[in-house]
Amino acid sequence: MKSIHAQIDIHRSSGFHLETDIEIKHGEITALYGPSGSGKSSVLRIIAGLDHLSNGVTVKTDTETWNDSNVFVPTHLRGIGYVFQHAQLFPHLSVEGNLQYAIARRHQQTDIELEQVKQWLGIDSLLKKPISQLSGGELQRVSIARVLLNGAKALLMDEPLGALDQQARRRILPYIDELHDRLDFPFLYVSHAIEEVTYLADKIYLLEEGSVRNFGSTFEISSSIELNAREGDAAAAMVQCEIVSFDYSYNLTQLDFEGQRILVSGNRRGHNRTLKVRIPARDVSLTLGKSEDSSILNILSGQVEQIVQSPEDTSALVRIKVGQQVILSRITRRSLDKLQIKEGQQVFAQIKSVGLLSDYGS
Amino acid sequence: MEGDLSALFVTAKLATLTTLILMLLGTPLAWWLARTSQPWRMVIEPIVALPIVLPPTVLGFYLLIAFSPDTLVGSFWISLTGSPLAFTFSALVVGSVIYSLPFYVQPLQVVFENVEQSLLDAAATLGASPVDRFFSVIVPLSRRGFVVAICLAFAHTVGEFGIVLMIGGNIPDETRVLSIALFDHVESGQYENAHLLAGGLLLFSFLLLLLVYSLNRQWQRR
Repeated sequence: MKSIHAQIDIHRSSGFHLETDIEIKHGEITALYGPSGSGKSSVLRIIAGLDHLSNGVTVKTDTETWNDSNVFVPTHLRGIGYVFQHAQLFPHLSVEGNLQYAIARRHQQTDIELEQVKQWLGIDSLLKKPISQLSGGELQRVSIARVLLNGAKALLMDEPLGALDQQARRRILPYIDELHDRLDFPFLYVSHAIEEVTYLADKIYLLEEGSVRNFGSTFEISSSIELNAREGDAAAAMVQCEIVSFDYSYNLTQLDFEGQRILVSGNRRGHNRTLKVRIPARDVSLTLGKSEDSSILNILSGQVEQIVQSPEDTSALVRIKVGQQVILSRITRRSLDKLQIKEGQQVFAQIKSVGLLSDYGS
Repeated sequence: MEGDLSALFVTAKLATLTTLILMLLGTPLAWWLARTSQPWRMVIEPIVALPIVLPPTVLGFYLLIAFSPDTLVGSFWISLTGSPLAFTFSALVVGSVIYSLPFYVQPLQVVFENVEQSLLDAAATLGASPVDRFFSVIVPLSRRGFVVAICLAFAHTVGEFGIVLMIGGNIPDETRVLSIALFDHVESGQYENAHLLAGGLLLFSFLLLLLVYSLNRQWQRR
């Protein structure tokens, strides 16, 4: 399967109006992001065929129609893999029984074998256990294994980390990120956690009160004021850097970001030349001149593009353009006035911390 | 004594056949009642429960009328088999199915209501068709309900009396069941034979219930 296209325009009896047009392409992770009650799960259930609607819904793949006013393909024939928030493993089967259930009902031939999957997800020691003895994180890893073994032609994930604690989240997220490299099919990830979405996704649909408020690449959306204004301390920008070199003596990796230098801790050289980096807005402070005697490693020069502030808030959110990309800074309105920062002005951004996917949750 | 053996055989045949028919008809009905949001449910549910509260003779009386050759049911049966339905073994099966329906449907409906829809959704995404979901998810999760429902339907059919008398009469080898044979023995003062049948039925019922409760206990512990 190469793509899924879902056009939805429905009115619920509660008065809720869901109107979205979403396209999920293969080879990338598309995220549906928004607060709870924004209609994310409804969209997912309609794509999966778990909600049967004949009016106002058109769901198509590149080769077939799943749902319109005349056609409804039932869920079990759509060939999708679905990871639920609460793993939904069968309680009457053991872990292995759950995996065999999926193997016996494969949607298509797959070269993914039980051996591989259990090693990769670290569930080897769990196979004989009943479901009731598993922790939340274990349940979710088994449910991901079950979906992989099922030979899905597309993957839908509905808040897969939503029911887990921070530690379990940290363990599973890299697995999901890795899926992305391994599997070449449409992949939709639904979450209300901005960190997850910005780390994993290539494209983001920002859903609010049933309609798409914004759509674009993760870099565009994650740095947008619309998305971050409400996020408070969680506001952050995602940027893409190129890996330059590793300095053994200081244990720092040097990255190139729009022709400027960023240093991150540890050896980050891997099979990819580029690295996604997350810069929390609250860790970025602004100066007018470049201070050479600062203990801060990463100082970038850029141009103030937009300032968002409101009288009831202490702080303001500043969007700074660095080359073709954007970073965000949250500073107090007092500092803003003191430095007399204006849109269009050249500033230096001092970055206290830089987050990487592998450090997520720490 | 020979008559009692024949009555035992008729009873066992009737209870087995009734239970099998209830499994075929009552299971989808229980599922429908457990899941539907249709307003029809409000009417169907009390109709299914009626045999619990009605005197068996009332039910038997209406069935007898329905079975007479000049009604729709009665004439249909004659066109199908060539003979009237009343006072035959088939009449007993029809009556028993209706009479034992709530004892099969209600325990099953309760366990069906507890099967989480989200598990069925998960099974569907894994490629399980509706029939596959029924046998691979619903049945194993509801096995307690099935055991209770099957045992109750069987035992209740074994124990019926009034309805048999109304629509089956007392025809040896055809409609003469154990409870009727017992009544006959008491009527004619054969207390020894009556004791044998009464004691046998008591023991059978006790053992069946013992089985149900111990299986229940065992599954609860898991």
